[in-house]
Amino acid sequence: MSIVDEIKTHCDNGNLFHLLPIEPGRSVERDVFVSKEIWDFLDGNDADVKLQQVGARAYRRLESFVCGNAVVLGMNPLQKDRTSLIARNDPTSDGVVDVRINDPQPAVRIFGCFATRNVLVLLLRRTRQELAQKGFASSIRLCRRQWDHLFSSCTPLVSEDPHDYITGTFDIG
Amino acid sequence: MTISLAPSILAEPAGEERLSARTLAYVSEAARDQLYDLVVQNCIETGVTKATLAKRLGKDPAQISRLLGAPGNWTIDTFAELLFAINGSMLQASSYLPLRAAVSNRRAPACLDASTIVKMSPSVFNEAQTIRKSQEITAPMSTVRNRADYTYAG
Repeated sequence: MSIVDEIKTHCDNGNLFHLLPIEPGRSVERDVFVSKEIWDFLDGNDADVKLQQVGARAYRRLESFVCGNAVVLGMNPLQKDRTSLIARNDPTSDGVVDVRINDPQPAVRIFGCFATRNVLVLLLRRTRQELAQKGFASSIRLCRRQWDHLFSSCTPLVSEDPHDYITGTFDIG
Repeated sequence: MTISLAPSILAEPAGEERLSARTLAYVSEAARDQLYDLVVQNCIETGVTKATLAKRLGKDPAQISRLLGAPGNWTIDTFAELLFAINGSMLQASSYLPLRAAVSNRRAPACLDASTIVKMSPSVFNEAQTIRKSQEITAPMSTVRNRADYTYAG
């Protein structure tokens, strides 16, 4: 079974949700699939009002990815720019990336993996405060365990070429 | 299942009802996103580098990296300076009513065969259609957003 078939099965079973732009006129150029945990965050189900607002901003940020806008991808986990929208995490061999919502506060990281080019599966959300308490590395490991639980026969995409992850990456130069 | 935030988050304001904090956060982010995308597209089209931009603006390259890394809360001055420094462009602004645009027929997962898969959640689709129809009755069509709306003078 291909990774795309597995994603479809998880969507059918309600384990993953495919994100659509709110605006009906916007087209889907890339795919983002999210877990229930991420959907609840994006849908504003947090008790914290500030996190509800960050969730709405994060949704729009993800829409930008979905609609095919240029994206800065941080390839080197140890030297990534603070403002890269998506960045690979150490160890890169695990294939875990995070979407970074830095502004406004509280800053949030949404962890996930690329299933294939332009197909991002997001599984775990952490505020920076939670990361300070629980540890960045353990969150990366937990994300990978969640991936392995969902996709036991497929590994995340790992490549040293940014174009293997996303078409339309923007190299700041 | 295909899913989106309920389109009602973008319903046009009526009367004195207070807008939700989430709506305001979303529309603010959308503005940041569009300005950022405009700058980035100009950078890509002209091939200007971070180093060149930094020299033209008299700023540190690291500062340009931070600005171009992701959409941010730029001041209008910062945005105007960046845009002009890239290729001499100036902003020509326009607005649009997001829920009045025609529904795109590319709303299924791009990685899956649209004919076999997941459709838009019926409740979300119906809500979008209802809002669109009710607004068509009460007001004329607004400008449809398009990159061509941002034309450059200069």
